[in-house]
Amino acid sequence: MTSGPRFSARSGPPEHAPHPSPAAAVGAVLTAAFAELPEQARERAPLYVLCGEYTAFAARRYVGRCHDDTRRLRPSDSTALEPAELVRAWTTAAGHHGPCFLLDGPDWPALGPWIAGREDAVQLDITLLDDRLPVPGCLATATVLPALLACPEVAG
Amino acid sequence: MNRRIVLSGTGLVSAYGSGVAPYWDGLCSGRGALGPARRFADAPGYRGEPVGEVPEFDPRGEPRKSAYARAALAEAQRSARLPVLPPGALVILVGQAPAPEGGGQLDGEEWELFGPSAELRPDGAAVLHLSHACASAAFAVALARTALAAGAAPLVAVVGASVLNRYEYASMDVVRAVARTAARPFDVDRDGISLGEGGGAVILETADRARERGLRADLTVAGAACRVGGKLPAASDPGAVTDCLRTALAEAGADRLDHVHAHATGTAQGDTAELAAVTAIAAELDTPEVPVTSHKGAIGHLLHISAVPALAAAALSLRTRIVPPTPGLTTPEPADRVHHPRAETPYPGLRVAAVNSFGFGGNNATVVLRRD
Repeated sequence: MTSGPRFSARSGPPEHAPHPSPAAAVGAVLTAAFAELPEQARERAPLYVLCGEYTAFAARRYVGRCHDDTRRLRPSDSTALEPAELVRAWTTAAGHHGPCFLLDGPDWPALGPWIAGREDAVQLDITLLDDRLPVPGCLATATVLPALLACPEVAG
Repeated sequence: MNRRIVLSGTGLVSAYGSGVAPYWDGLCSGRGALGPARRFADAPGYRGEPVGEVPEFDPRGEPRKSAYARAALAEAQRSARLPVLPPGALVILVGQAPAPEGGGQLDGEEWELFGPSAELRPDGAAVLHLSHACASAAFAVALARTALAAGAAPLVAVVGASVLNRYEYASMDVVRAVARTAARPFDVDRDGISLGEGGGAVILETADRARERGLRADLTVAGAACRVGGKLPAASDPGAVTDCLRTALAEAGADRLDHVHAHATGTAQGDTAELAAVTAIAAELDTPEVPVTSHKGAIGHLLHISAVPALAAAALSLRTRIVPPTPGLTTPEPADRVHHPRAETPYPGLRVAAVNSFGFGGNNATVVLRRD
């Protein structure tokens, strides 16, 4: 995929990484990536998040907490299941009103340029580095995707 | 070139049984299918609340989630007159997390949280997995629309399923969302969600392609909006809900809103936020009264795939010009410019319908259908 600037940040315990949570790392790279877009596109530019590994991790972590006899299940365990929690704080604070898709699948590399190429967009890749840490170690990489294709208009 | 994207097939497995037809008949009758669990009765944490269990379904050795999804996809293909999906079709699987092919280390219960598996992939189809909590299927429709508009696939199937399982039950219970009695969307005495299970599938393609197979191609997916945002992870944000409705209608070029099939799960906060959004949009459009309904008091909440029964009902409302009642609703919460039909009700001018779908994590989506 032809792409523009790329920004990366890591999360984990302070001795391992500068960001205390995956959402904090995500916020840092999304702020940098969206700043590269034309100002008029920032608020509504699509955000494609490739996060299958993290999504599966969050589900396994939740299953573990359901089976943990040493503590009661908490509301935060329930909401932490959702990969949208990676981006919600940033989209809310930044006033992002564009589409956001939390994706996984081996066919994205082939389809992504078509789907995401219609307009200026940002792709966020979440790589799980260490799921044994109290704060999961994640690498968040945001890539600016300039519009590539002259696409047919969708009839409303 | 101008591409009109249409809904050409729907498939459903629900507490009314297999198929869209029994679901629509049940919904229009106003009789809910919720009741005490049978298969799920002994699950940890279950205390006898009404649920929407699928009756008389043989998964034939498959995990139920995959079997429900497969059955729904088969019905959607039949209704779209597609014996097989065309080469290059895109299948968007919706669910909590992608299940590893072959199952990996998942045990029986975990299968009902993960997946459905990419093993559902028909030969030659591309597969993506999407996870947006209970709004997943509506987000997938928005992505499908984008993919079709870009020419990335000749046809897109959105497929998923939900199976009653201890994990998702606990997830709703721990946030005190589960009702002790059957869900009563929009009712002044509502006290939460009833969980259901089932499978859902919708097929989207261009109108030209659908017509080639003799379909009417009359249900245009005219607009879609999906947002992640909101201050709280487990509460509906009225501003985000309103923004989605407004944006989807604008994308559809619609200056009218004839019907809303609401997300309306039966929670106090969520239903109120959604009513406020419908009231605001109706006022902007100078619409005196919008008929609003919800299926969740009938079959329960199908979580990730819950937008499919909503789309199926909205599509049939557009075709029949009938809006079904909201099973479970007795005394509606007052809301300006909103009407809740108490029985199946004809609306001869019905042409534009919105489907709302929301989920934890600030997931909000609206799909606008128009009958052409």
